[in-house]
Amino acid sequence: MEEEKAFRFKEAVKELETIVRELEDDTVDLDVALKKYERGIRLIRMCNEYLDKAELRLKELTQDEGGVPLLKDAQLEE
Amino acid sequence: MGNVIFAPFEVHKQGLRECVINMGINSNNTLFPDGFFVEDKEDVDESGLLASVSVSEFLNGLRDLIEEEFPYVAIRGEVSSISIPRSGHAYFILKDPDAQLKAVMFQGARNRSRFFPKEGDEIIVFGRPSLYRPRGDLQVIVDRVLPYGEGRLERLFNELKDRLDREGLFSQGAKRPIPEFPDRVFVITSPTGAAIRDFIKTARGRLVTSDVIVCPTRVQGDGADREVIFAIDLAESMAGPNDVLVITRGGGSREDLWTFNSEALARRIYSCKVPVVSAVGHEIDFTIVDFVSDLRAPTPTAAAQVLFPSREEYEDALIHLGERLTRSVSYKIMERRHAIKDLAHRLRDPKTYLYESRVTLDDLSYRLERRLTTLIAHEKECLKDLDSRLTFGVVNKLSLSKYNLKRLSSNLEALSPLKVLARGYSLVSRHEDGAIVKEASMVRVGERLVIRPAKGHIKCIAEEIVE
Repeated sequence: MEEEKAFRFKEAVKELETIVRELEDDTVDLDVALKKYERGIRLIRMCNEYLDKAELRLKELTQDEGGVPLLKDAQLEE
Repeated sequence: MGNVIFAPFEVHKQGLRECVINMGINSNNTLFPDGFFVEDKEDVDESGLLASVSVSEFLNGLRDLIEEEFPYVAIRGEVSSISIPRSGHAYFILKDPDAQLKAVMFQGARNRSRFFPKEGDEIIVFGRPSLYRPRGDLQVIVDRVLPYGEGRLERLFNELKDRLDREGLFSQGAKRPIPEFPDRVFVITSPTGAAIRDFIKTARGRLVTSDVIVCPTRVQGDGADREVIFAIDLAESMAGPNDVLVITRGGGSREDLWTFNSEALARRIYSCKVPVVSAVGHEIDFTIVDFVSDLRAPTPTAAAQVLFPSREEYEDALIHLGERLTRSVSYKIMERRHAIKDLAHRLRDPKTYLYESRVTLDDLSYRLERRLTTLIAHEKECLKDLDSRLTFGVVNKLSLSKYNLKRLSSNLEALSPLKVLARGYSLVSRHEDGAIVKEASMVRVGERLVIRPAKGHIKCIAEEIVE
């Protein structure tokens, strides 16, 4: 859960874009390129897992009698 | 009883009476039975039998009075509750803050009119007031309608909008950025409205990684703005830095959406720490909340589209990036392989270097040889040249000398005394010392002299000297 929080999808996609651009540049050494490739593959896997897990979690925010905010799962008919 | 009936018309009673009298309608008129107009309670027959009229009679009389008194009027008011049934006649209510009046505009009049009001418009109607007896309704039969400036609500709206705009509440600089991939989305709306249904339905089809938290509130009617403000307070107290607020409701009439033109609500949104997306009504509806919010989405559906990216877009992007990643690395590896192959190929036979060196050497020696030959030839040429110049110089000098000598000898010849002698002159010299005798005094008597003619010589002795 902590790792998931730390993982920012958009930033991962941006990093991936940067890696691909760097690799498409001829001047990168092969050993560096291979390290970046590994990182890129890992990012793609993480992004795909994120996409698979992503779903809407619906909640409802009200107050209890004491005026304390009360957050509970929402049951809205759709 | 009579004056009770007339109570609402108390003010007009005198006018109506005068009107009736002035028009020559007297109490004998069948429309106005005896006792129709009463001065005071005492004039009314206690039994009511003499003075009473039927409802129809009364309304007929009243209608005629109204139509006589107000044959044609212009009335100003705000339009509401417009209804146009299949008949094509338009029914609406004309109102101001204290009163309202029914109005009807028949199809023909409506078709002739260039302008027809919409809900909330402030207008001036022209027509005749009348009583609709089946309902006992007073209504004005409109034959012409004109807009009266902008409607009251419109004016209030514009005044508030201008004021807040001047204060800078709508300035682009004050807009907070809407977070991409927000952690939590607080949706302030009616839990039963169309807006939340549309929003969630749209969100489900997209890439949502946020908690969507509904903050239920009323979205129309008196005090709804305060409820929305309260919901903002509540959401703001829970919101984190990567959260966003959505204030939304579905379409409705201008009055329905009026909650979202509340000044207090606008100021609360402006002061809210959390970015606010507004989505009120349909695309054509603009409210003050839309102007003050950080982002205005035209509809609840659009709000969901703005907040949540398209799932397909990212799935496609990831596939595409993956392909490029693999392709670029494969290409690099292939490139290296080619480079290594090339190196290996060149390394295979050291003789190649030897051969190359030999060729170079050959070439160099050839060039050296050629260079030397050229140099030698050149030197030879130079020598030859010098030689020829030397020879030529010497010969030249010799012939010049010969010529000079010839000339000199010829001169010399001309000067030779022998030539003079040849012409018969002779040289006389002393025998003793050989000196040429140039005058007689050089000679003594008896001295031996030598005379030299052109050929041979004569020895002689001087006999006499004559000076």
